[in-house]
This record gives sequence, structure tokens and C-alpha cells, in this order.
Amino acid sequence: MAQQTIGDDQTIIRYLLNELSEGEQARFEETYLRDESLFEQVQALEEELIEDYVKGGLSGHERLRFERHYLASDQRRARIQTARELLRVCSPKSSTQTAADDRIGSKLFSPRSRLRLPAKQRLAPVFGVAAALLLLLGTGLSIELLRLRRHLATVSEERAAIERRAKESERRLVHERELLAEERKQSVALREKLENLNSQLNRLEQERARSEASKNQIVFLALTSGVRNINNLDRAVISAHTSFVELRVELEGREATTPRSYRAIVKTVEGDKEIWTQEGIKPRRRKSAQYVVRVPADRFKATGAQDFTLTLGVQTVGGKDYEELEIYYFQVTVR
Amino acid sequence: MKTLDLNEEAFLRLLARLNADPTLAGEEYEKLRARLIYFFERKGCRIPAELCDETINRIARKVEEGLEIGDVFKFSYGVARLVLLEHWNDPKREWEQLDERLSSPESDRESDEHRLECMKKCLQSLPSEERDLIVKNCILDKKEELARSLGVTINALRLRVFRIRTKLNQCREKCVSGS
Repeated sequence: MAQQTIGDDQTIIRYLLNELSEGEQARFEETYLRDESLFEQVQALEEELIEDYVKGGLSGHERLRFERHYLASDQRRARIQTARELLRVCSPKSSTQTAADDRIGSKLFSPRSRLRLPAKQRLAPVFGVAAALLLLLGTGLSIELLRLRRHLATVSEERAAIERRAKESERRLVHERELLAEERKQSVALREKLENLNSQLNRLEQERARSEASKNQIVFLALTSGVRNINNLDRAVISAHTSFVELRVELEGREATTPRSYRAIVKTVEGDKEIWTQEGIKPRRRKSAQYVVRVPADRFKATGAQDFTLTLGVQTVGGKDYEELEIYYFQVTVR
Repeated sequence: MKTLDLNEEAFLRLLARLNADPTLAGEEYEKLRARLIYFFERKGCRIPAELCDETINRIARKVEEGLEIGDVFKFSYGVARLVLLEHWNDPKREWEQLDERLSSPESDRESDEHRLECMKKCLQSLPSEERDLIVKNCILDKKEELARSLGVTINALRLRVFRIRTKLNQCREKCVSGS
């Protein structure tokens, strides 16, 4: 997504409906956090999108994506409710027909006009005018009745749709609760896995300490996916003798078994400055899930920073681009 | 997720970093806060304000430690992503809040009526020109017609309507909460 298209309406709508890729989304979010006018534009388009939804003006595809994204959040549902309230308040009322009839009727049936004319002569035109009035009134009422019926049908449909969505939300909540119970059961297994990982890390730490003690030129650092506590990030300590920092990542699941080419980009957290890029990364051994990125130590030393990220991307099917897969946070300290 | 406390000095340093003029610094701080809350809301977080405060606290901490930050808004994005990832990986994250929200009572007809009354009152309190614009925008299906009649672009109309509706919603919120 080129810089000049970030602010166009189509891109903003795609962002709001969660249709941008991860990389595009990240770039877009970084831009609106910096750019006040873009941020206001995004919010204004979001209001308009909600309004279109409430009025029934979204296409089928847009409505589905909107409901999937917006009905899942309390804050967004509240905004939809506010938009509905405003629409209700803005709806026009019909009061003019009744007032006009009242004025005409009072002139014809005033006591003075009754006294002047004989009975029969008075009655004939009165009946004619009354009939015409009744006809007009009847037509007006019929039109109004039709409009109200249509309005009622729309409101009933909307209410039924809302009730269906409310039931769906309730089912989802029940399901989430069940998932929570399941997750709590699985936490024991995860704790064991964590202990195993910690012992692996300890072994690697010892390896690193040995390499430092023997003035080894390469410092190794194993990165694990998922972010730890900020006080317990993966850390490497390098010295003047260190030539390279070797970053090791272990992929899981399908990524571990599917042979593909990867790209690694190392950046500073502060300033998002790119210090190293490596493409065409393959696993260390056949059918292995471990990938290694060797970064010259000077690159870290030159930044003066401590906090870094490694963004791992996997080559797309066409082979021309990389899709962001995982971000690893780590620290490198110079002794 | 551990929450870092923010002391007054660190906060003042952060404001100074946002803008040398204290009045403008306050405005910049509010803008940063609004954008970060929006970011976390977009990510589906149920506690966006708390996560925003956590992000700002960490930025202030870095400023206090003497880290030179060029563009605070740009820097905040990296920190916000880190806070978000930690939040998603925190096993206690939302379940307590979720339980609280599930146990809260459903809205009833009376509160619906009250909200509607507040909306009407706030709409009436707008200057007539702004009120007309909001009503026409509600009723008309095609924005192009309205924009043409006002002699502005659709984008300009959209922003104008958005700013008036923001004012309207703030009034409504105050009325609903009874303040």
C-alpha cells in the first residue's frame, strides 16, 4: 500500500472492515497515530459506516463484515445504538394534515353562517364540501396508513434482526465461557511447557556464557514467540570481541513442516529503524523447524539502542513478496 | 501484565517532550491518548483506556530514563503493539472484566426512553444551522446532494457532520450519566 493511498476512502473502509493484510494494517495504524488529519478522517468515515449500516445502506458483503467486526465489541454496539437513536429523533412527523382540516371545518360550521341561509340551501353545498373533505381526508389517511405500515414492517424486521443477533451474541458468550474453562484446564500443560522452555533457555544462557568466557566471536540468542513480561525479555550480552549475534527461532505447527523461504528484518523498537534484512532463509536441517539469522554485532552497537524486534516473514505463493508471520522482541546489551 | 506507576515528574517531562508550551502540550497529550484508545478499541480490547495509560506510562518512563525520542507519536506505536501483545498473552486478561460485564443488568425500556430524551434535548440545544445539517444528513440517502447544495466536497461535509456529532454525543453522554 503506497503512502499516497493510505488516506483514501477505500483504504480506510477496508481498514475499518478488517480487510487489510497485517502489514498494511500496521503501516496504516502507525500513520494515523502520527497524522491528526488522517485520524479524524478515519473516525468520520467510521461514523458514516455505522450510519449506513443503521439505515440499511451497506451491501451484503459489507454488512456481513461489519456485523462480524462491530457486534463483537461492547463499545461499538453502543455506538450503533447511539446512531439508531439519532435516526429515530431525526425522523419527520406528520401533523400538518390534521391542522389544515381543523381550520376548514371551523369556517363551514360556524354559527353565523347557519343563521343566514334557509335550511335546505344551507345543507346542499355543505354536504358537497363535506363529502369532498371526507374524500381528501380519507385519501390522506390511507397514504399515511400505508406509510406507517411500511415503517412498522421495517421496524419489525430490524427488531427481529437485532433479536437474532442478540441471541447469537449470547450463544457466543456461552461458547467463550466454555472455552475459558477449557483453557484453564490446559494451563497446567502450558506451565510444564514453559518450564521446559526455561530449562532450554538456561542451557543456552550457559552456552552463551561459555562463548563469552572463551572470547568466542558469535553470541547466540534463542527467541520464543509470544511476548513475555517487559522485565523478562530475551537478552544477549555482546562485547568488543563479538562479531556476530546469531538469532534462533523455532517455528511451530504447520509452518514447521511446510518447506518455505523466509525473510528476517531486525529493527530498533525506538524509531523503528531497520538495521538488518536477510532473505531466502531456510531451516538449518531438512525437516527441521529451527531458523537462524546471523546479524553482524556492529549493527547493534551502532544504534546505541537496547530494544529490538525481529520480524519474520514467509514468502508468498507468487514468490514476490513476504507475508508477516511473527514478531519477536529482544534486547542486546553491549558490555 | 505489570502496570508501571507514573510519577508527576515523569509525566511533566513527557508533556515537555510533546510540546514546550504547557497549554499545547496538554492538547497534544489528549490527542495521543485519544488515538491510542482508538487503536486499542479497534483491536477489540475491552479495557482500551487502561492499556492506553499503560502505554503512556512506559513512554514517560523511557523519557525519564533519558532516552531521546524524536517523534513521540511514532514511538508510541511500537510501545502500544508491545502492550497489546502482552495483554493478549496475559491469561487473566479479560475474563474478570468479561464476568463483570456479563453480570451487569440488561438495558430496560425506561433507560432507553431516557437516552432517547437526552438525544432529543441535545439535538435541540445545537445551533439551528448545525441541527439542520445533522437532520438533513440523517434523512437524505445521498450525501452528494447535500454536499452539492452546501457547495462543499463530500469529505468536507463528512468532517463537518462528524465534528457536530462528536459534540452531540458528548452532550448526550453527560445527560445520560446525569452530570
